[in-house]
Amino acid sequence: MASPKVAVVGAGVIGLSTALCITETCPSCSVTVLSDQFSPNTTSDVAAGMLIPHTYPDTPIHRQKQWFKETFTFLFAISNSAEASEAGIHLVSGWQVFRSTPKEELPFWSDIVLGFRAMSEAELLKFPQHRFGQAFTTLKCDCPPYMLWLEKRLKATGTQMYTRKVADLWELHSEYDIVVNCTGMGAHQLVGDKQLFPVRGQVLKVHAPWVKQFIRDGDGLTYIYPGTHRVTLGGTREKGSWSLSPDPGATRDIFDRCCSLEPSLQGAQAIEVKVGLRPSRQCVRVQREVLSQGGVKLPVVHNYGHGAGGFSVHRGTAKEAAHLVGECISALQGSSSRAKL
Amino acid sequence: MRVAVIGAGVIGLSSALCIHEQFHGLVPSLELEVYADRFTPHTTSDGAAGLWQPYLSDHGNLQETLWNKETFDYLLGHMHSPASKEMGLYLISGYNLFTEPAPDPSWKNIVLGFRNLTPKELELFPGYSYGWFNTALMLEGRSYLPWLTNRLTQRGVKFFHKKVESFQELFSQGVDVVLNCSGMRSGDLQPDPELQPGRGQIIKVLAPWVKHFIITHDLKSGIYNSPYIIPGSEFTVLGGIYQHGNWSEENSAKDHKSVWDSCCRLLPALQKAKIVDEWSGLRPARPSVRLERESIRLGNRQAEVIHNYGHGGFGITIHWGCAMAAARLFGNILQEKKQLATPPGPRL
Repeated sequence: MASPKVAVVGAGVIGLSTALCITETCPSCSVTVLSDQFSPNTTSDVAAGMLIPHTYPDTPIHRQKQWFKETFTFLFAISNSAEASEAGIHLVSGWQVFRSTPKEELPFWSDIVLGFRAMSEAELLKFPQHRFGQAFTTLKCDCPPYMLWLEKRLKATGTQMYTRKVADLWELHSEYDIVVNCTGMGAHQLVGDKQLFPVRGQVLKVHAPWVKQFIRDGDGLTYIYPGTHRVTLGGTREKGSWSLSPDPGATRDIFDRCCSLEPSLQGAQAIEVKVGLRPSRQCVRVQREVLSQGGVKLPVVHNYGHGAGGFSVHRGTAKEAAHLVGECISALQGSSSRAKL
Repeated sequence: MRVAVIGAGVIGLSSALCIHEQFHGLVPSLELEVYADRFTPHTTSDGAAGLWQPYLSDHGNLQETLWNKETFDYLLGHMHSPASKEMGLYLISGYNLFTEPAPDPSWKNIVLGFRNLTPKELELFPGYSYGWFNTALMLEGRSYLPWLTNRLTQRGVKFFHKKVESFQELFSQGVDVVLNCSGMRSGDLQPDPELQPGRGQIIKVLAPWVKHFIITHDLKSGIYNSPYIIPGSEFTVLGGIYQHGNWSEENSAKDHKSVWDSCCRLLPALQKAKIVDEWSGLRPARPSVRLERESIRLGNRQAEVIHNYGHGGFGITIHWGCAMAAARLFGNILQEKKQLATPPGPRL
C-alpha cells in the first residue's frame, strides 16, 4: 500500500491532534480531516483547555498518567518556544482548594505538573470555607488559537480539511482505506455507542486581565482559569443534558460561586456565555475495530469519550490512535500481500 | 493645624491618607494639602511595574523589612475587598532566577508559598541553575495613585500643582508641618549626597499570555541589571537597567537593545510581542530610607519636617509601612504641641 488514505472524522482537539500524529508516524499516509464543525464552533472551543486531568474510572491509571505526561511534555516544549503565543499555550499557576481534605492528597499527576505542593496556612486564609489546598503550575491551551495552530501544522503537511457531515462511516469506505473516529459526542449517533453520554458544561468567558492565577474547587464545579485574553469561569456538570442553550440561572450561579472564590471578579466585563457537551465515558475509547459489511472490510480506529479531560490527554491518546492506525496499515499490507500469492 | 505634603507619588499620597485617616477625627483643625509638580500618570511611581518585592538582602536593616511586611500584610488584607480592582491590586506568582545558589531573602516568610525551583522548572530558563517561586502582589501605580487621590479628595484634602522651592516657602504661608515625600528631587529642597538616581529603562509590550513575573539576578552586577519581565493588567513590563548616578530621563537605544534582547532570550515568545511604550525613570536610591523628623527654627516658631524619601526601587513594596511610621512621627509632633491632649479652650 503505497499511500494509505486515512480519513479523520472530527476536528476538535482530538481529531486535529490525532491527524497530526498520524502525519508524524506515517509520513506516507494521505490524511484528510472531515468534520461538520471546525474551530471556533467545536466543543473544544468552549473548554478552558487546562491541563488538570480528569480521572476515568475504567482506564488503568498508568495509562492515563502516560497520556497526561506525553501531553504535558509536548505542550511544555511549545510554551517554551517562540511559537507559544501563536499556539495559545502558556503556563499558569494557582490553587485547587477543597472544603474537606480529599482522600487522595496526592493525585496521580502531581509529579507531572510543576512545583506541586500543599497550600500553606497563610494561603488558605484567602479561602475561609476551604480547609485544604494544593498549589501547582500547569499549562493552558487557549482555543481557538491552539486549534488554529494545529490546523496550520496540518496544512503544512499537505493534510486536506473539508466541512462535511458524515452520517455513516461506511460512506467513506470507497474513498479511504482507514477511518479514524474522533467525533466526540457525535459518536453516540455515528457508531451507536450507548456508553457515551453528555455532561453539559456552561462557562462564562469574561474580561478580567488582572486575574493571573487559576483557582479551582476540588469538587470540579467551580473554577477560574485565566487565558490569554479571557478568563473562563465555570461551571456546571449536568449528566445526560443535551441542551446547548445557555441557562441564565446557571450564569448567575456560576458568577456568584466564582466571585466568592475571587471577589475582584465582580468588576469583570464583557461576559460571554458558552455551552459544551463533554463527551463522557467510563473509559476513553482508543481502540481498533474492523467493520464488515457484505464482504467489504473497513478498518476503524476510535479515539473518543474524553469527557472532561480532553485537553489533558489529547496528545497521548492521539499518539496511541496513530499507533493503531499503523497497525491497521500493517494488517492491510499483510492481507494484500497474502492476496498476491 | 496645616500639614503640607510635598510629592504626589506613592509615598506622598499614602502618607497623606494614613495621616488623615488616623488624625482627622482627633484634630478638628487638621488641614491637609498636597503639593507637587508632577501628578499621576507622570510620577516615578506610575512608571514602576508595581510588583511587591524588596531587594534580595536588607543588609541588616530590619526596620525596612518590617515596613515591607506591614505593607504586604496591609495589601493582602485588601485582596478580598471590592476595591482591589480599582486599586490595581492583585495576586501574582513568579520566578526569581540565579546562575548560582543564593541565600534566602529577608522576605521569604512575608510572601506566600516561597520555595526553591524544581529541576523541571529550571528547564524553562536555560542558563539559570537556581531560583525561587513565590506568590506576591502587584499594585499598579497607574491605578493605585488615582485611587489614593480619590480617597484624599473625598476627605477634603486639597491638591496644588506647583513646584515647591523650599520648606520655608510653605512655612511662611502658615504651614505647621511639612511631609517631605519628594523622592528623587529631595536634593533640591535640602542637599543630600546620599540620595542618588538609580536610573531604569523599561519597555512596555502586549503579551497577555504571560502570567508570571520572571526576575533574573546577576549577583555581581547588582540589583535590576539583569532582565526582568513583569505582567501588568494591560501591558507586560520588560526591564533590567539600573544605572547608579545617571540622571537622564531620556530613553537610550543601547538600553533598549539590552532589555529587548535579554528578555527575548529569557522568553522567546516575546519576539512576537508588540511594543507599545518605553519609559525611563530615576529610582530615588539611598543606603537607607530617610524617615525622620527635623525641627527647623523659624524666628519664634518651631517648624517640623517629616522626611520620607529615598525608597529606591522598592517604594511600592515599602510604602504603607513608611506611611504609618510617618503618621507616628506626626502623632509625636501633635503630642509635643499639645494638639492631642485637650480641645482648644480659653486661656486663663
